[in-house]
Amino acid sequence: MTHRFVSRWSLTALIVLAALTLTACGGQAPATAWYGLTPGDEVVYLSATTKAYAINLPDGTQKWPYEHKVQQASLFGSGMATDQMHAQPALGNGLVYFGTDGGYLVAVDATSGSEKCSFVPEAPSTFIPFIKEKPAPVYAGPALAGDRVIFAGTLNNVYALKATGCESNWKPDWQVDVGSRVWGTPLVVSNTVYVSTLGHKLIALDVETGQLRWVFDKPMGALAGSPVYDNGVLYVGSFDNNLYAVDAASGAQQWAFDAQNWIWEGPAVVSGTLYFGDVSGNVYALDAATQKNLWTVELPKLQTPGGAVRATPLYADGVLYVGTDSGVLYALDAATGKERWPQPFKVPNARFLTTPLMKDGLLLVAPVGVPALLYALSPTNAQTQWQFPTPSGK
Amino acid sequence: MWDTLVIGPFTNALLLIYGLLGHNFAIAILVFTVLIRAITYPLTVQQQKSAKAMQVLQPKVQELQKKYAKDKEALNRETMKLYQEAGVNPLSGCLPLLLQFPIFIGLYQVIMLVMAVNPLQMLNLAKHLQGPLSQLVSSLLNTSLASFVPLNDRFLWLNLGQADPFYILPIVVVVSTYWQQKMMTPPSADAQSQAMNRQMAIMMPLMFGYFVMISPSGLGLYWLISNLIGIVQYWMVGRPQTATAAATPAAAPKAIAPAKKKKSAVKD
Repeated sequence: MTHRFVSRWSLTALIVLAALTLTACGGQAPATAWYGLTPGDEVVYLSATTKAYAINLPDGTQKWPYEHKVQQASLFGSGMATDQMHAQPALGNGLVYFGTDGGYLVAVDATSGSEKCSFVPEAPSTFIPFIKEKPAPVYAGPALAGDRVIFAGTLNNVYALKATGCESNWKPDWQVDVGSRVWGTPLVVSNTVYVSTLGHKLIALDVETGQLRWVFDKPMGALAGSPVYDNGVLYVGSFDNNLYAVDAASGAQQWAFDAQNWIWEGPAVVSGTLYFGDVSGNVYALDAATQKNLWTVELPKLQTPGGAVRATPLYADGVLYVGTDSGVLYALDAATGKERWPQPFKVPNARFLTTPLMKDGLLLVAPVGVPALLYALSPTNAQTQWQFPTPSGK
Repeated sequence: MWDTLVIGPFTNALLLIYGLLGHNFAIAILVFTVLIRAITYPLTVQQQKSAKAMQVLQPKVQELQKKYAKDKEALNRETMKLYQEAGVNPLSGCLPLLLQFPIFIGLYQVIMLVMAVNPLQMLNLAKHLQGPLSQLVSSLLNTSLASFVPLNDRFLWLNLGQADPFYILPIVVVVSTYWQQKMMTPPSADAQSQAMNRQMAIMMPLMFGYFVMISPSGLGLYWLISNLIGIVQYWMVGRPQTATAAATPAAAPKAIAPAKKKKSAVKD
C-alpha cells in the first residue's frame, strides 16, 4: 500500500512538474527583450511586448494603443495571433515605425495609432519548397535616413524602404545580407548607415545603394548594441569587454578600452567624455581623447544585489541616469560619479534595461518584469509623478 | 544556490564541450547529455532495479491486500514486513528519481540559456559567463567564452534556436517517448494501475511532443537524445527478467531471492 501510494504520488508530482514547465513555456508569452521608448511631441511611444502605446506626457494617460496581429501556422491549422514588439520605435513623417517579433516593420499613424502599412521580408524556402523559414524577431529599432527607413530585419538582412507613401507596394529599395543577426538600432550619419552585428562586426553601408563601405571585424565578441557617433568617431561596445573607437570614414580602429565585462550599448558622449556601463554593473567615465579613465563606479558596492548596466546612461544637466538589471535606477554626478539622490529609485522585480528619457521635465524609465510599463519621475528626487498603466490598470 | 550549484557549472561545461568539439552546438548537446546520463547512471540503475524488485513482490502484496482488506493497520504492518524480508525499501526507487529530476530541469534550463535566442536570455547568459569557473574554462580553451556568442545554431535542417518547421523532431520525440514509456513501465496485474499506465503511455509522449513542437529545436534534440539514452540504459539493466517475473505471478516468490543477492552484490 505504502509503495503504491508513494509511486503514484511521485508520478503525479512528475506530471504536475511537467505541466508547470509546459505552462511556463506555452502560456502568456513573456517579454523576450526590454521595451523601446521614443519621444514625440508631448507624447512618448512605447513598444511593450504585446502592445505599443502612445502615452500623453503631462499625465501618463493613453493616447492610443496599437496591436499587431500576425498569421500563425501550426500543425493544427493557422490563425491570427498577437505579435510582439520590443524594438525601439522610430518617429518621422507623421508615422511611428515599429519592428515586431514576427519579423515585420509596421508604420502606424502617430496621431491616431492606425496602421498604415507593414512589410515582412520574404522568408527563404527550406529544403521542402513550400515550407518557408520562420522569420526571426526584430529587436533592432528602425532608423530614419532622409526619405528612407532602414530596417535591420530578420534573416541577417538590412533593408531600406521608402519612409513615406508606404500604403502602396511597400518594398525595399535595397537589402544587404550582413551575415549575422542585428539587435542594435542602425545608426545613420549623413549618407552612411552603421550596423553592428552579433557576428562581431561593425559594418558601414551607403544609405542610397546599400553598397558596402567598410567592415570593422577586430572585436572578438558580439556587438549587440547600437554604435554612437561623435566628431568623426564611432563608439561601439562589445561582448569581448572592449569599447571600440572606430574612424567613421575608414573603419580603422583608433583605440579600445578594456572594461571588466561585456559592454552592451554604446556610450553617452558629452563634451568629449564617454559614459557607459558593463554587465557587471560598473559605470565608466572615459576621456575620449586620452582614453583616461576619469572615474569608475561599481554599482554593486552601492546596492546589493548589483545588476548589469545594459543600456546607455542618460545624461542631463550634469547628471547621469543609470538603470540596472536589478531594478535600481541611479542618478550619478557626471563629474565625480557620486550619487545625487539620497536613495536610488527602486522597483522590486523590475529590470531597467532601456535607456531613460528626459522629456518635458520628466525622467521616463521603462522597466520590464513588472506591471508598470513606464514611470515618470522627478529628476531631482526620483519621486514618481505617474506610472503607466496606473496601478488600477487604467 | 541553484545558479551556483547547477546552472553555472552546467553552462560552463556545455560551452567547454562546444569549444572543444568544433563549435557545433548540436554535438555539444549530444555529448553533454550523454555525460549527464552517465553521471546519473548509478541512480537510474538503482531506480530501475528497485522498480523491478517491487514488481516482483506485487503478487505477494496483492495477496496481503486481499487478506487484510478490512484491517489497514495489519496490512501496513505485513506489507512492511514483506519488504523487509525481501530486502526492499519502497522509497529507494523514488529517491533516485527525485535526485535526477533537478539535474534534468537544470540541463533544460542551461540549453535554453546558452542558446540565448533573445536579448533577455543573452543578458542572463552574460551573468553566468563571469566568475572563476568561466575563467578556468576560458584558459583551458585559450579563448574567451564570450567569443562563442552567438552560438552556431545550425544543425542539419534545424535552426536550434527555433522550432522545427517540418515537425520531424516533435514526431520523433513522441515516438521515442512512447517507446521509452512502454519499455520502462512494468506490466501490472492491477486493473487500476494498468489503466493509469495506458493513459500515461499516451499522454506523456503527446505532451512532450507538443512541448517540442513549440520550443526551440535544440531542446527537442536534447529530449530525443535523452530518450534514446534512457532506452539504451534500460536494456543495459535488462528488461526481459522483469517482464517474465511480472507476467508469471507464480514465479514471484522465487524471484525475491535474486533481488536479495543483487542487493548484497551492491554492498560488496
